[in-house]
Amino acid sequence: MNGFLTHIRQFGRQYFLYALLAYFSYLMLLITLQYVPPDLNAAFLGIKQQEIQHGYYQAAFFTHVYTSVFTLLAGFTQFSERIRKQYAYVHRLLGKLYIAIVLLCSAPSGLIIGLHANGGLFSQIAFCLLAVLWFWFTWMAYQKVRLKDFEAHRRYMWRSYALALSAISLRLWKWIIVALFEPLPMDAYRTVAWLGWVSNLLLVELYLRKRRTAKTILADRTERIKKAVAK
Amino acid sequence: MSNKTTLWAIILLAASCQDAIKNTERTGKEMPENKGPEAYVISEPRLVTPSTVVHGREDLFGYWVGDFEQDMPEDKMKYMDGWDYANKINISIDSINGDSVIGHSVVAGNRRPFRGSVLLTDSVFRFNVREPGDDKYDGVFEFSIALHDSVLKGKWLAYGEIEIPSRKFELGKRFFRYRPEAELDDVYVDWEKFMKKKIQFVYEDGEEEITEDYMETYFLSTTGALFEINSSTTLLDKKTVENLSKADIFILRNAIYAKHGYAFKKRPLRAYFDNHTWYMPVYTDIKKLLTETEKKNIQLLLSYEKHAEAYYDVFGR
Repeated sequence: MNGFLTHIRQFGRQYFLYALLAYFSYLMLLITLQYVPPDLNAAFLGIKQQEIQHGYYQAAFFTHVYTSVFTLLAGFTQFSERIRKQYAYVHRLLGKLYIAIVLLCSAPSGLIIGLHANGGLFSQIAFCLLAVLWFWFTWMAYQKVRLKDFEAHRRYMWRSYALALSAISLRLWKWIIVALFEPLPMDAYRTVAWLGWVSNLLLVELYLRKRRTAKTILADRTERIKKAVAK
Repeated sequence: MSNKTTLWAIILLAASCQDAIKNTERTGKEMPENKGPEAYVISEPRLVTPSTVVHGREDLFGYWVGDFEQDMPEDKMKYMDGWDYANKINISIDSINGDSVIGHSVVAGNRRPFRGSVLLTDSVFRFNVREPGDDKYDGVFEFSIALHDSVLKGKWLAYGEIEIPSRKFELGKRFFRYRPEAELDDVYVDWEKFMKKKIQFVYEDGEEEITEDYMETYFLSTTGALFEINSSTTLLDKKTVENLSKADIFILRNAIYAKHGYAFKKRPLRAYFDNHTWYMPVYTDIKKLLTETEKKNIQLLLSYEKHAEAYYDVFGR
């Protein structure tokens, strides 16, 4: 009975998280749709008029906007143990797609936009670092899975996806900060440029550490039992 | 003596600029229905003497500026958020031909022509002029000024039934010129745009601790940054504009119009600029008078204003 309740609770929590991800992915889709069809004056571009005159910035911006929204979808399938075990080919196919989008489109274009970020050096460093780390984690995850080091692959993927989610957390932080403190617009922007992804990465690192400790304890215990049995 | 020459030069310059505007305003609603010799036409005073004291008929021409206040019994006075409904008015005496006078008034973003009579009796010029009557806020002016005096006093009565049907004023003669260097010296608060915040208030009642929630109103207002920036004389860049509050941006943009003598229709803007001694309402269309710097600044400010309006407090950038 107790086990059943835990199961229900876990099930509920999992689906709550999926629902949350679905809701915010929908909001991100709406933000993306502001730029369909391509319009050099739409939304954020209203305050990017100097940069958007350059062809390379246009290319980077629209690549980033149109591709990045798809990386969020990875969250629905790639962390599910069931899909990974029962439908391994789905996990592999969608995983390759995520890696290709991040490495070839979203992260490089993010770096170019980051170089021109509003708010001066402070936020430019934040966004460039975000792009570089996103690329690095995704690349490492890819390398690790090719070496069949699945534990390391998993860790790097958690980090990579945490940074993908910064699209949502940055905007959520901004909304919270504005609602609470009504800061000047660029002060708010500079704050969330860092807060948006650093908070996610910290959470994931904490989670990974906890998980690793739990694993080590479990491994130790198994080792001891094995030894005891052998005696 | 050279001072006087400069003044005349400025007046002539202003008059020539005004001609450019006048033509655009001849069309549209400004023209009353009745055409022919009786038709109302808005012009500008041409020969304005530099004297603010009326020593003769020629000193009457020009802009007479001051507060257009309610003229109602104490108990019928209207107030809104502490505002007494007073607007800055500009009564322009444009031409006098014998006993008949032609002029116009500019108030609350409304530029209306008037015609009527002026009589000099007992050393006092007495005006009695009428507005066309095809606008809701048209009416009759009665005002007078004594010879060798500098204050034009009078009353206005609306034709129709409107909220404030009678007003009074005491005006002084003012010379309009474009003042790009004029400074802002007031904090702007937009009483129409505010947000409510829930505040928790804890107090002790005897031994018990009581917690109460109440809503406090926060108004959109400007910051000190406003006084450091001149949007008419300096070309603004992104760096300066991007960290200004929505209200700062809004006022900096409208300050450009104010310096050109634009008559604001929006009440909060009127209330704000009326408080500035350099400001006077003269025109309802100043687009052609804007300098290149101002045009660029308006474009930049407007893009940030729109962005702040649409995205500042929502989920997004």
